Amino acid sequence: VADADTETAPEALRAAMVRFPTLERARWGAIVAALREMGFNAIDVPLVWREHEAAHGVFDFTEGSLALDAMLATVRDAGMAAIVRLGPIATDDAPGLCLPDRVLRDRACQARTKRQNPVVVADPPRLVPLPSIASEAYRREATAWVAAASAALARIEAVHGPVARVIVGDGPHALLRDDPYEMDHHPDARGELAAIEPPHDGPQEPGLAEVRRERDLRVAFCDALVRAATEHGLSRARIVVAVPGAATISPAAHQLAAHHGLLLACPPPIAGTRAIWHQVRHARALAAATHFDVWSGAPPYYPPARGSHTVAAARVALAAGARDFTVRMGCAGDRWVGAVLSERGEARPHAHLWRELLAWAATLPTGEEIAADLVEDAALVEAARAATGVHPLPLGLLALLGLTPGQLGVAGAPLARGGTLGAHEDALATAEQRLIEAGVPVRRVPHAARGGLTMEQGEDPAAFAARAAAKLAAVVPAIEPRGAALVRAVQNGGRVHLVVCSQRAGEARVVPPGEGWTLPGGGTASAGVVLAPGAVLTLARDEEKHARPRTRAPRAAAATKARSTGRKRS
Amino acid sequence: VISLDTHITGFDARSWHRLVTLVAPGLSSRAPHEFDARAAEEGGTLLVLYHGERILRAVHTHRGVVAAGAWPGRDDLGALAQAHGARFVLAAEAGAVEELYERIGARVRLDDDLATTVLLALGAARELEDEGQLHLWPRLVDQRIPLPTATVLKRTFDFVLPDGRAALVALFDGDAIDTAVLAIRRGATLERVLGPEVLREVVGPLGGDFRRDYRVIRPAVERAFGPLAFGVFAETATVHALLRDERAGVWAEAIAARDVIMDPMPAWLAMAAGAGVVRAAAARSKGLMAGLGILGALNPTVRRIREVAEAVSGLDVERVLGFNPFRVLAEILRRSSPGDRGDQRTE
Repeated sequence: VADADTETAPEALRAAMVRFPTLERARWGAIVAALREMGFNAIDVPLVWREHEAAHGVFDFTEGSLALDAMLATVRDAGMAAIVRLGPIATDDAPGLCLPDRVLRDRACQARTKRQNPVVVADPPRLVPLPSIASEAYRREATAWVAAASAALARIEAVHGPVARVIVGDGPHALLRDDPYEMDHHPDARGELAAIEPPHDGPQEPGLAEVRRERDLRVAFCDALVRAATEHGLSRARIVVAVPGAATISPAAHQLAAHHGLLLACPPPIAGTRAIWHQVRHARALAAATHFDVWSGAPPYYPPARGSHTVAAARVALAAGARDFTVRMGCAGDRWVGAVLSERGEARPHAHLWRELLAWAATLPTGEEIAADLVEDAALVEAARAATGVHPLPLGLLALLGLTPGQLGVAGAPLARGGTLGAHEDALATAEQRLIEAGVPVRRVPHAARGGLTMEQGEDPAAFAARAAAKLAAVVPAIEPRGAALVRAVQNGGRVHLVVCSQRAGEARVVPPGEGWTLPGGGTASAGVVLAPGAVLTLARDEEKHARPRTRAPRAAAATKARSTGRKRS
Repeated sequence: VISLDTHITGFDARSWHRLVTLVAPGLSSRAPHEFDARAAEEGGTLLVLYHGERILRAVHTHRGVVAAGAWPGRDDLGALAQAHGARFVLAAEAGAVEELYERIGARVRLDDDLATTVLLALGAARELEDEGQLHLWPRLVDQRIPLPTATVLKRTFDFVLPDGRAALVALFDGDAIDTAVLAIRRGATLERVLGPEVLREVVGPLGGDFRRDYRVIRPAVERAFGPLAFGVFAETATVHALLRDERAGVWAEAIAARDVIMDPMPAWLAMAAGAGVVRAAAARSKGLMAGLGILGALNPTVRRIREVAEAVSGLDVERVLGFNPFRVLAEILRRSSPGDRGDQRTE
């Protein structure tokens, strides 16, 4: 199932994260109320292992500022939904990757380099050892934590009712070490296998084996965490799995999406409109349920982002189709700068921008996507990862910042399907650029929809762009200057919606295709609309009264037909 | 300096952005739709990974992946930077970054403090640079200069901010506090790092002129948090310009002209303000006194500079560290892209 709105929550979750243990307990109520008043309908609380572990194997979820039950009662009393993150690496503002120092120090738990040194990552003011998800010792520790937290949460749910969503797994933010060749050389990860070097443009099989081993370890780790949560009382239907980095370069994300909803990070503002658009569109096509983290501020050791820029990045993500999301951070008492609310629960200067965005988010269309698809399937992602040209830099982070799989791998790397990675990337990039310049809704997707409008293997990119522009002409607006905006088309019942997102610093003019397009306020858009830099325009047309798109994905057509049974179609 | 127990609070996104981009303009925030415009600008850093004579990947921090042909060698990195409109180049031979990770992983310990950790990482990077596997262009510090030790850095920290004292930098934009940072030391590390929200709460309404307001701010902060080791009060734009000015003595001139007010002003700060001019003051240089004017010379701050200079003549940060960190910073800032882009107070 791809990109349909099949999320478990009936209403989109528009959440703000609150790091309640870092805030005065007396302020919790006011903070939650302030966020609700701004338009958030959910509160997302990460549970930080190192904060709740009173002693080895002894956890506190009830006392003082650690009282999860009191926090969830506050959320419930405010009429809001609750989201709980169990991690183990649940958020990036807590020190030590959220893990107790005893776990960080345990050599049996540490990921290893080729020379069996700890794989350390920046966690200012320290460098800390990354845990090995292959390590039996670490898996025991991590699942014990998730089991304890799940049991505590299940007890609270019995009293206060169920939470809307539970998130397990590491991330979603890119870890600084994720190269398949450099780590993990923990004995539990590789046994007696010798370390290998990245094959670059040589024979790919040894590299692909490394990537698949890495993928299987991540999937097994996540599955073990989900199992620990469900065995201790949490509903499987409400669990989604966090994936570190970007799904576009993660074979594990591709595999996990078959069975789980995913939590993914949106790129930061500096990555640009196209990178954010691309990541969200890809993720929505990948997993049935997707939850995104968008930014408001960051830990102090991240590059700073202005408030208006983080709101602008969230606007792009929503325009691209993000439905359920968490703003990190709604409110935190330490180690986070630029949250929506101050540590005292007062609205920060950019809070009014969030209020406006949340109101606007509720008006965005949902439904079946109409688009020309460019496929970056799991095999391509594995090949790009195996042929990494940036070894040992973190692929997940670079993908999040806008690099495609084809750009991350060495251009000359051979593909099993024939040709090279570079040639494949050139074809995709050329087609994508032409489609964007023509105003055609386009996606890079993980798999072709059956019967969908997809660039065939070996098809000339220019020819595909022309074919797609002709077939989707009914949803292709004229945009001047060419390529100044990205377009998304959505079919919902008898209505077609266009979402046009500016991606340039100058104004653009958008003229919709044909008659009958209306603006959200009800005015007509036929004569064209001026799109301000960074703005998003939504248009709608009643399909019963006007020409239907000449072609769209049969799956979408079938869905519409099913909903419209018995009704006369124009 | 900063430990796990250091609490960082009181910064909204704008004030933090203003503070950080003063000294790191390359980290300046951009709206998503400004990506193409930024890519078209000169500046940024080019990251190059090469293997033998082939460049595996070149990534520009503003433009993403860029096409680059053959590895030109260390001596031609300037030309490579110019060809891609970059102001800095960081190049690594295949395997060098992995080797860097190995060395750091082997040496660092979980209990190491920030200074030790940073020095270990810099030391490993310096080794690989010496071995010809890592390259930075331009070279900002002479390779022959050894890194300072953790002990030297600790003593410097003790000197700059003694235990039990606080340090304040309050920067103004017109008639309001633009950004600020208040660091409070308790024991070996900073206990709290507080932003302008806390400062506004402690100080209350201000008159709108930092040359007068500092007299209100300092006692209010000292009542709330203890004695200040030093305080810096100025317009943000003034500090922005001073940080980029490589001329000796510009800080002392700004202090004399009351464009920057330092209150209190410890000895080391007087030296940092411009050792050359301060030494000249100590020697009662006629030229300096003429430059400052009679009123300037009679100014209590200038008298203080002179007194301090006499007391600390011979103390020189360049001599302690082996290089002048302010000159290196100015060189970096001069090469960096413009930082501030006029963010609005409503943000």
